[in-house]
Amino acid sequence: MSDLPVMPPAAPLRRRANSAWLRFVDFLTFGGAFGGTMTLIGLLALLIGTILIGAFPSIHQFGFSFFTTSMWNPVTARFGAWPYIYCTLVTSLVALVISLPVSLGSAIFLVKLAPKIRFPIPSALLGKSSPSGWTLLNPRIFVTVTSFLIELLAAIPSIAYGLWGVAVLVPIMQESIQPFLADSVILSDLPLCGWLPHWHVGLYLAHIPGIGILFADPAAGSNMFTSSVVLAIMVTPIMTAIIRDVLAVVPPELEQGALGLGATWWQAMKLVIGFSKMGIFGAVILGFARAMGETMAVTMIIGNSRPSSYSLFSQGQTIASLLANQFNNADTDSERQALYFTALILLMITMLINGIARVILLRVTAGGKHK
Amino acid sequence: MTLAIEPITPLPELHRGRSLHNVWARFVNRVAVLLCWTSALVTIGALFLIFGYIVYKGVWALTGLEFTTHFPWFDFTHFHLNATFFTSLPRPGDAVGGMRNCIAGTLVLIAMASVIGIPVGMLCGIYLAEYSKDNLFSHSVRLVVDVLAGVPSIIVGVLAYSLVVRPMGNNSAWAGAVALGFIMCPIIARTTEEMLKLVPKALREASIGLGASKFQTLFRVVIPAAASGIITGVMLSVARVAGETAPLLFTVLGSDQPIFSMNSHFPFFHADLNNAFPSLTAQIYKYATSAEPEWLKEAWGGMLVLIMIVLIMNIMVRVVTAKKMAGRH
Repeated sequence: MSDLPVMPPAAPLRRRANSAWLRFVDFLTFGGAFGGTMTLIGLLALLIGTILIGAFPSIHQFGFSFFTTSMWNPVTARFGAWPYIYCTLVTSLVALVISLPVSLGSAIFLVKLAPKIRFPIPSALLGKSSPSGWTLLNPRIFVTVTSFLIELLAAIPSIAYGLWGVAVLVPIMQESIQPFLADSVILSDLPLCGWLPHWHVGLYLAHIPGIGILFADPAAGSNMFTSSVVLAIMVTPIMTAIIRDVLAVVPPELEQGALGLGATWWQAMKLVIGFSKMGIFGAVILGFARAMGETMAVTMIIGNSRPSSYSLFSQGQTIASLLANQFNNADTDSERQALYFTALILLMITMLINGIARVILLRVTAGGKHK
Repeated sequence: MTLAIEPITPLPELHRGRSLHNVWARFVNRVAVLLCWTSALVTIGALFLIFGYIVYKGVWALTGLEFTTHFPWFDFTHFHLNATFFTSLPRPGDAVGGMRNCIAGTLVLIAMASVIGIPVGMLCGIYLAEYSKDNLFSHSVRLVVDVLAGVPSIIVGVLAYSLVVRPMGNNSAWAGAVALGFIMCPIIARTTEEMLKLVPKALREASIGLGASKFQTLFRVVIPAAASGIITGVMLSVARVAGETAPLLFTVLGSDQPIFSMNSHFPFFHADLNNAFPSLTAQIYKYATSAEPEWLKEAWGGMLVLIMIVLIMNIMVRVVTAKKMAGRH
């Protein structure tokens, strides 16, 4: 009996696993996480509240007429935001018209067309060893790299687009593209085109009755149309990424069935696009919200003066660029209140659109995942 | 009673790529394929055009090397690194200056914004991933986070102006940090949630099964497993915030003064955070909209520095996530 080994007594537990202390720490963790969430919700409330309070005197004074009048006079304290609202909506809409086909095409390319390549690299580069000394990269490497490059376009800061637009795009728009759209250009006068014949080519859009007023007077390069083009470049990667995700969850039976019945690839694609039209709509309105809130590039390009006409080729001022230019040096309190009112309009529109788009996209992609 | 046998009508001949309709459909198909390739090329071409032009002008501004005129590019006789840009303060007029204080100012602003943005964003992400149930509240929290991420940055600038600049009475680094921190919060919250959800449930169950508390499970098991992903999200948000200009215009305003000063009082280095504060992007905007050629040149130099920071961070993020994904499959 006595030669049996005696277990030494277990070291006393420093703290029992389910002690009150641990439960208290758990409670603190939950409290912290919940508090962080509540801070974020409070942030949204603070955002709306602050801007609403700042705008309140202006809302009280002008009411709905703020949306329809086009006077901005700090001396007489009469304000109306119609020109700025017009510029904001028009630049964003034109940007969407330009970027939707491009982003739809890019997304279809990424999901359905991009070739799967077999690309061998030396195994040593990956730190592996293989009998042949070579390893095949993931065949979707081309898609991955293309996706990454398109997403990189979304990472470029807004001010870089502005600087590039002023230096490169504005002269090109002024000398070639705007005259081509509104009237005509002489082919051999275009840059790098001296060897072409002296033909007048153009779309003569300014001569069409009705929509002609949108294309009148293409004299300067810093205008609403040029900012729309830059906005289009800026929203294309965002829309491409969303449409790509939406197209990826379309059930493959749809395309395969159409192809099996003898449809061409494009006819099958039209079915796929029709199937995911809600998701594409979500992507479009998300791009719209993004384009409306974009500030720096537009501020540097749009000319920052109230538009003199409805023409796309006139200088303009969006709500965002108005705030960027005027907010810090508003002359009077009433002007600052009016600026808060415009900020409130922009905030409400973008929030509404973002909310709707997220709900739509969540439904679309979730529906695809559960299949 | 007669059994009428219907004559068998011959089936119509199949049109195998011969009819006008099929020729048209195949033509449209070709055009559509071509257009899809073209649109992808146009998008990537835009990236290379913009990025290439910024590199071209930025290298010219920082080194004096011009790709177009100094043709044999390996002939570096014209190449001299313009160290003034990194060591000197902004100077008025056509005097050659630099952006030393602006680069430092941007880094200080990012650090201050991180102090606000990272804890709040991560806590919200932890709540959404670990505590929220599939109910109305958590869905509305996600909606709020998405809506906050979509608020235009200029509006956030207006908020920081109203909350900080107005009560303080002047522009300050605090206001800029608040604005940038607000922008970081929702981005970090979303990525933290996504990354925590990628951690397998079995890990949590094993930890709980061994008797660990929720806190221990979370901070010893789940968060270390998701750490690289969470850091990725933080870096993405920093890259986003580094390029923000609009919320800084009327919060920090920009300044030509150095931010650090030395004196004999305790920490010896003092940062002046209570006055107008330098920032790379605000300075680029100021210089880019001026008519002074020297300023414009420095704006291109600053833009190259900024875009390199953003680019390198994005590439690092991509490499990290690619490795993580490769490990998962």
